[in-house]
Amino acid sequence: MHFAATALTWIASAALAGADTPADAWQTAGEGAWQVLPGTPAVMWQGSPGVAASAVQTIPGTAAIVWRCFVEPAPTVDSAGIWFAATPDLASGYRLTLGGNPGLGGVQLHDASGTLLWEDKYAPWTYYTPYVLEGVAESGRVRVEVFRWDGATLEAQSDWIDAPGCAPDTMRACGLYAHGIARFYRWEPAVSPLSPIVADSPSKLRLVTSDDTEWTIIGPGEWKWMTPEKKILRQGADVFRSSVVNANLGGSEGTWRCRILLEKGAGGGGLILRTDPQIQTGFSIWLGGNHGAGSLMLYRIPDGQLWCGPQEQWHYDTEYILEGTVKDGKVSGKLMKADGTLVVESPQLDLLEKEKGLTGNLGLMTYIGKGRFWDFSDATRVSEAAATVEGPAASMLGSEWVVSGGVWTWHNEAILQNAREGLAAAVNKAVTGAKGVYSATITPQQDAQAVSLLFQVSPDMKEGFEIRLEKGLLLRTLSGRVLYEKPDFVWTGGTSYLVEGIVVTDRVSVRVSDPAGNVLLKTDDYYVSDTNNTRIGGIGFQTLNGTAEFINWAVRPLE
Amino acid sequence: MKKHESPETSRLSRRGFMRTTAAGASGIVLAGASSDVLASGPAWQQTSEKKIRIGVVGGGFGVSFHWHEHPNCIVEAVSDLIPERRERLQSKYACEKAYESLEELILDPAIDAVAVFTEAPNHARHVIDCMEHGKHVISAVPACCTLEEAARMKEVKERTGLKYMMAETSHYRWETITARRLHQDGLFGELVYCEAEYYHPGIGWANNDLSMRDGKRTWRWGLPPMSYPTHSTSFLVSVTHERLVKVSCIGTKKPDDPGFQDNAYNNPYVNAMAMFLTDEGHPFRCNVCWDIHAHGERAQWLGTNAAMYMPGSGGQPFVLQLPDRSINTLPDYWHMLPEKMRYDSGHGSSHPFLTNEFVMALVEDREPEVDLYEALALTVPGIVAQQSSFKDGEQLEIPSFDLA
Repeated sequence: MHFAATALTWIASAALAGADTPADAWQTAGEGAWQVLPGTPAVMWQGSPGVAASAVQTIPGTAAIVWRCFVEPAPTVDSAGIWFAATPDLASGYRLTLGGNPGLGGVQLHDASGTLLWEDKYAPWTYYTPYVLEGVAESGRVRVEVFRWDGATLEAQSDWIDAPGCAPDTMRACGLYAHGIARFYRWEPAVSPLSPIVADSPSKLRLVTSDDTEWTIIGPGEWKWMTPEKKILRQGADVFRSSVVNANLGGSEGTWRCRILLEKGAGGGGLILRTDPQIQTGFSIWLGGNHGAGSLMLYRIPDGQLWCGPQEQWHYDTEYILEGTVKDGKVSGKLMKADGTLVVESPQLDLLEKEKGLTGNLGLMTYIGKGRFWDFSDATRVSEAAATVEGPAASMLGSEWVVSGGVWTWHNEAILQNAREGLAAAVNKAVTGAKGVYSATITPQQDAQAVSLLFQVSPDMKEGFEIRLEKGLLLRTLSGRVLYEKPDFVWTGGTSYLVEGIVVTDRVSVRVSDPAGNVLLKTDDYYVSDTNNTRIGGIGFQTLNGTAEFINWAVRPLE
Repeated sequence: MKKHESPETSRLSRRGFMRTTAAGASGIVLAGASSDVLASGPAWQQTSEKKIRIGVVGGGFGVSFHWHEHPNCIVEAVSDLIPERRERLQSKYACEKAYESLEELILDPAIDAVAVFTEAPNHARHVIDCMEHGKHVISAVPACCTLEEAARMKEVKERTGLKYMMAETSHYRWETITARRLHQDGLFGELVYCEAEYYHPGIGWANNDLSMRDGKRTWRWGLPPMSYPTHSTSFLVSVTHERLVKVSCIGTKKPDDPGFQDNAYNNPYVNAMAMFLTDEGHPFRCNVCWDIHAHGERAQWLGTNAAMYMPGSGGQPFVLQLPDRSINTLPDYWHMLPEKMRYDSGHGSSHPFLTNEFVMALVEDREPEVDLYEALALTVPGIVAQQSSFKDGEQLEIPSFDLA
């Protein structure tokens, strides 16, 4: 949700308001140690740990109030935020704060008496990160919203909340609040709010905070519906382990099923069967093992692994169906492709005597990262619509290769890309490295528009580098950033070139040689992210509108 | 104010924060301006139309910065002795004007400031040349290689009043920014001990690409580890602004490598481990190693109330341990930068932060965060540590180059 135009206007004027506010315009309450740090913008710092402190000023006018401020909480803060539509003595008014769910986040609106008026319990926020908090007050009602530091990305938002005592014509005190250490800047009254009330605000999509009262979240995590239709549930935080359990789905015996897609970087995720509200018992059927190329696993909670299938059975950003069955004293799990084709299934394992006859609920879990779940129920069968979603293209070159587009074939020790049109890529998952020399002999044919060596490349081709022979030579990241370009580099169709991508930790370079070993081009090193120091990637090839031959691919240590 | 803090560069230490004077009856205290706090906090926004015209020298490391993407900066000219590198700079920064040498570039009156990314042993000479020609300077690390050079840089800076910044990448690693905030907020308690390390296998080795160019030895051939200390020393000095006052350093050798048998530095050591003492009585362990099975720049900060651990090449995760819980999430600080510069271009995402800080210091006519005094406080301890290693670890005193 973006409201960029509004935000830009506001930010331009807000800095002046903050910088020009004299220190003696503020009235403080509580035990805090407030300090103003002059500058552009000025910063208000509440530096006393563990105490509640307020600083307010009275804004002019009598109309509805919009008050906003950047709030940047320290990691130990209990809560930090803004006062708006208050009386100067803070006997009446409204307080919007980050906090309320220690270690997890939360956004809360209280009135001056401390009564909780509204809460987005799982709204995430990060310490030392600025957020824009905004309160809106009209006669008899208030509403609040929280934005990312860009002032445009909505993080939390309430609907209008009845506030019978709210009288903006007389309650003109607005300001800052911290219970603990926090920084504030660019505080200002405004004419209109940054955003209207929207149907798809994160607060409405966030599990539990919305009206999904049958769900319980266990541990940290950002469980949120992806759309207002509430079809797909996503855990979107990079947290170690996060689970939810649904009180309405469950039973003693049966088959439970969900569709699952694990996002890049995740360690695993899956389905929980016959569990309790705190997930202390039951079974998990989940995708685990090697990250992004792992196995189906069956665990007893809390004891651990009962069975583990072979690796290389699931991959990132690919839809699968997970199924767990408890029947006749046995438990088993099954992994299927999106179209229902079986990938692997566990044996049927005996329940313990104490487990027979138990009942429980359905849960979902992620492990080290993000995942999406849908069609979870005890009655769901594979839907036709979902079955049209395809998994990764079957490799024409064998299990070591991930292929997309084109017609790839083996020719002795070489591989050929034979399609004359379109984009085609093949990535070898077995020949991998971090730093090193990624090399191959490439022979673009006369018809080829572009031919590339991909190096330190991830199987999904989202990370890594490309040396592209097209009009000249180009070195770029697979995210599209050009590191080096030599438009006048001449290559000839039908000629072989030894192309080498050289990874020296956070620096990469290119070397191209002719068949006789003469170096035609050697670039300097180009700095890239130092996450590259240890990132493992493979070697691959790509063609555009033409054919090519690739041979002698290798990753070898740096010379 | 600590003795090494000039009025312009007064750091907002925790103690300094608390010593400020109350203003008015509001209960609000007016503190002195702090570039640390401001640069680490509010979202960046353009506050001036002023343009800094910069000359960029050195087409190796010098192409990894963001001068052309900063709204307040124009790359006026570039220079490198090697034509291909000159062209590389011109291409990267879309700059037509090129000079064949730094000495020619600094004669250009259109240039306000020079980015010196030449070889380390020439940094001091080049910085001084630039300042003597009226240019502000940012240089790659280290600021200098000898104590004599340090003294000369200080004299020239104070005589000319020009601004100098050292492009120390560790200063803007996000873990360092976070540690700085934690220290300002008093959340470490007393930060009693810090360990820092820079591991880069291959530096100085005879068979390393960086040690030879066109059949000639480069400045990295046999480079003494502690002559390149700032990636490590910054992890403490840039957080607390303490000064390192004593050091004992032990080196290990690589006798089978010609790089460490015959070099311009008479240096036999490929690894160096130093134990420093700060002016506040804190020990600081600092390693710089070229021959060790580890890689990267990292630190851990151990306070009486909290500790923080950077990720490492051994798979160690980021951990911030507070009194009541551990946090594994590091904030991102992209909001501190102009929008176009919010991408990772190396050294822990620090390059755009260095670019922005130097440009904004000149736009706002203030000293940059890593000014000359900070730069020498990061560099000089390594020079003395190196001397200690040559004396089998004898503890030596480190001279101060701060304002008297």
